[in-house]
Amino acid sequence: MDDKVVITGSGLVSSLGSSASDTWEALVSGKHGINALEDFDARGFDCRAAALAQSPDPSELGIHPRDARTMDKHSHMLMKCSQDAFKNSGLDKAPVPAEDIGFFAGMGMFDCNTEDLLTAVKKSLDPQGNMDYDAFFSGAYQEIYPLWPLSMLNNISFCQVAINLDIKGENTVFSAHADSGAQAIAEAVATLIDKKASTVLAGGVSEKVSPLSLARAHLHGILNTSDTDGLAVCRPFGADRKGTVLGEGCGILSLELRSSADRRAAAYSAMITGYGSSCEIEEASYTPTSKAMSGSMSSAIAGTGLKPTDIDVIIANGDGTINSDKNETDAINAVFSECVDKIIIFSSKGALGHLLAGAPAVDVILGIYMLEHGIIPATLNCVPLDKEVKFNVVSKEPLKAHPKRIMINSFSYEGQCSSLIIEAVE
Amino acid sequence: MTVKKKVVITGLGLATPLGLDVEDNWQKLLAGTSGISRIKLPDTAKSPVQAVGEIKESDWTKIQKEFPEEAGQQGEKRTLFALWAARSALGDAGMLSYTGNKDRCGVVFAAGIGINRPEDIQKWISRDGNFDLLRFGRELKTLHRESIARNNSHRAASLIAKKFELRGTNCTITTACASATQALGTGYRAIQRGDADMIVAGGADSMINPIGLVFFVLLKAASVSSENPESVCRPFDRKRSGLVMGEGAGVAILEEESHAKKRGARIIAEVAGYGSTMDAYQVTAPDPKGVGAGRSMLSALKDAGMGDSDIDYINAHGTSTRLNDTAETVAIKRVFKENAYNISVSSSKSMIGHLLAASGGPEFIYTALSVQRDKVHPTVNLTNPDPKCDLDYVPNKMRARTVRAAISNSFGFGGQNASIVVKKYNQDLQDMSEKK
Repeated sequence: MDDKVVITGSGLVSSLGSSASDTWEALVSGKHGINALEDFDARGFDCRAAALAQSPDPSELGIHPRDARTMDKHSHMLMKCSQDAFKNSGLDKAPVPAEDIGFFAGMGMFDCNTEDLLTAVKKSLDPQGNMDYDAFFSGAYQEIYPLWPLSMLNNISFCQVAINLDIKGENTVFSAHADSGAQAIAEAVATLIDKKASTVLAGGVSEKVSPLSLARAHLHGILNTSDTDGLAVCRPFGADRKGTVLGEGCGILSLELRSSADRRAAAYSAMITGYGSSCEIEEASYTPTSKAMSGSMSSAIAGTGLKPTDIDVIIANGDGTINSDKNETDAINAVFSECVDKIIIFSSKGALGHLLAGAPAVDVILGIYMLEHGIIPATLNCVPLDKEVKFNVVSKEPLKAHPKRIMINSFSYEGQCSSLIIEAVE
Repeated sequence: MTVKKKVVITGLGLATPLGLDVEDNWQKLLAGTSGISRIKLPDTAKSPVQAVGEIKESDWTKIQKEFPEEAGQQGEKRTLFALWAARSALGDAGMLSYTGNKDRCGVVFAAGIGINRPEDIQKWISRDGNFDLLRFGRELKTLHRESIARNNSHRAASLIAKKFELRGTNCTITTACASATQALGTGYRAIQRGDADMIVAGGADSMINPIGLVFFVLLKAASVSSENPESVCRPFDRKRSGLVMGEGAGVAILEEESHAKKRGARIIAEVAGYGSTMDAYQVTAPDPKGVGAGRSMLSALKDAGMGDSDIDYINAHGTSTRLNDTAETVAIKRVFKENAYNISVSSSKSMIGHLLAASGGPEFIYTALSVQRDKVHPTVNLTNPDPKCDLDYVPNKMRARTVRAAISNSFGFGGQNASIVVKKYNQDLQDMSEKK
């Protein structure tokens, strides 16, 4: 039999906690992490809520204060999750050569903090308040901290993790939306099967919620901007859904071939067995077409030698936007037509917001908990459901179930769709 | 384990400071023509960086005219460079009129950092000198289309997929200067595994803008020399003073061999191997011993099933920075031992500048042409040999020599390295081995 890729460890940071177990317990007890934005003045924005994670303390992660200055919240989340995945898979004690450890991550769009450039810009202004580039180039630019460019290169935090954990093997960084986190996991799996590495860290991290990231989401038209007086709510598959809410977080998996994990007696309970992808954008809606979503799910199922009826649970992309949820509903109804009343659906975004590049790995980790505990948490705020929904979205109460296989959907706002399949190890 | 599919190159597309045509680029490179000149971007008289490889004004006008819709909506330079190069490559491969299954045709593309525009801050500075978030939130719809908030790194890959209806795997790689080589390598692997029949792979980038111009000056990696712009970029030369930015795109069509043959495509060369490594050394400097860079070449060689006597040409990363060029030299010598001195090594950056995230795109194309045509372009401006750089860098004059196989190297800021091996594709030999 083919060797399978198993998950031997993980690290997770979200608005509901700085560990996988904290996040899981909070989800099962029906908590959410979405709050009014207070980190910066968001009064001018039409969506003023987000699910912010608490930034891990760099000193506890062994990050030098000099490096911490160019590392933003996403770097700290990535560092913490990578260290946690490394440790709880026993890799910190296992004699795996640095050259045999791979690393693949989906990384979001990392924005500059406006204050990083503010002084340089102010010193470049002419009397009318416009940019004077002679002034900028003659010296004003030197007000920019010389290592500021590092914070703009989105592979730098990735390389900082590699230095911290001494990872020297196969690697790449995918960007920028949710699909990228799934691509990283799929590439890691393929790298292990190809025997290009003996163990791989893989996952993704969201960008920090900042004025620019909030602006980007607004401009994409994906946010719930309707609840201006109260707190914006993300309602995956809800009849009243009006948009998504941004979240912060990171998920990193430690992956290895089953034979290799067995050799060193590493514990695991789930394996990654399937992946599919497809790309087609629906004009004007910033959403993949339902055909592309069906394509990614069908190819993951077919590529694994399975039938739709073999999938018990889908952790949906379910981002609470009108168009994406509509297309995903159509796609699930179609692909799973023969078992649509049986398939169980969960979306983490009602509670955690949209973690973008961080979402797929976080959802995989939540999927492992579902396989282990036989519980599917409720999808928050999804009731009343859209009348087109024919599948069983878990609402109100967590559902007791005994899933064997879970599909994780991750879609971008540029047409890319990815579907992963994880399976319980008997 | 399933047998890996063979991956061939069937189309090439370019937009570089040397022009928009692959053949024209190649002839200029062989002649040692530099595309680097004094910066023409407006308002840059005082820029510390004066030598750059810009896409010619007339070429830029041509590209905008070819893609009027995209130019109007999202006329960011790198995105249009990407569209131009992708369409050229698809056309070159005879794929523009393809009627096969486009669910199995994908895009793997490299992207650099988005543009940070000082105006996006200037516009919202309040009277008290702070950034006025309240007003910014209310007015964000007026953000310029080139702002980072509007321009996802995904953009190029997504637009290529949309424009040419490529519905297969679609991803964007962002590993600084290693991006395009990693995109090519990732695309190669996808075809090898059977996940796609055809991949549009490469990259596009431009940082020739105000923040971009000071970006590498702040990091002390850029050359700030302003005399004779065309001679500022001098890889492996004792008087080298830092990288010189270029802009543009390079795209190759990678295709599964039997798929290419079935549709009668002309095969330029074969992709034989790929490897990537990390230095895990420092984020601001390469390992001076070039350990990670060496392992990257070694891993690509191993993937190709080749040894240290099988490579005739290396298209070097060759950035013209003090650290890279010596570290890369040390790495080549460690990997190829005494054979290192029989290998021709040249830097395309000496003539087109450093295309940053896209750099591996055009360099891969030039590598493929070297293999196909048994010619190696020179490293120009190499007039003061550096005793620490003692390989054959093909100084100033092109070389005609047999190139059985070649490596293209890209080493990213931060410490990510990637190498890809291209080898000759011999139709007759292939047919013979199939008959056996």
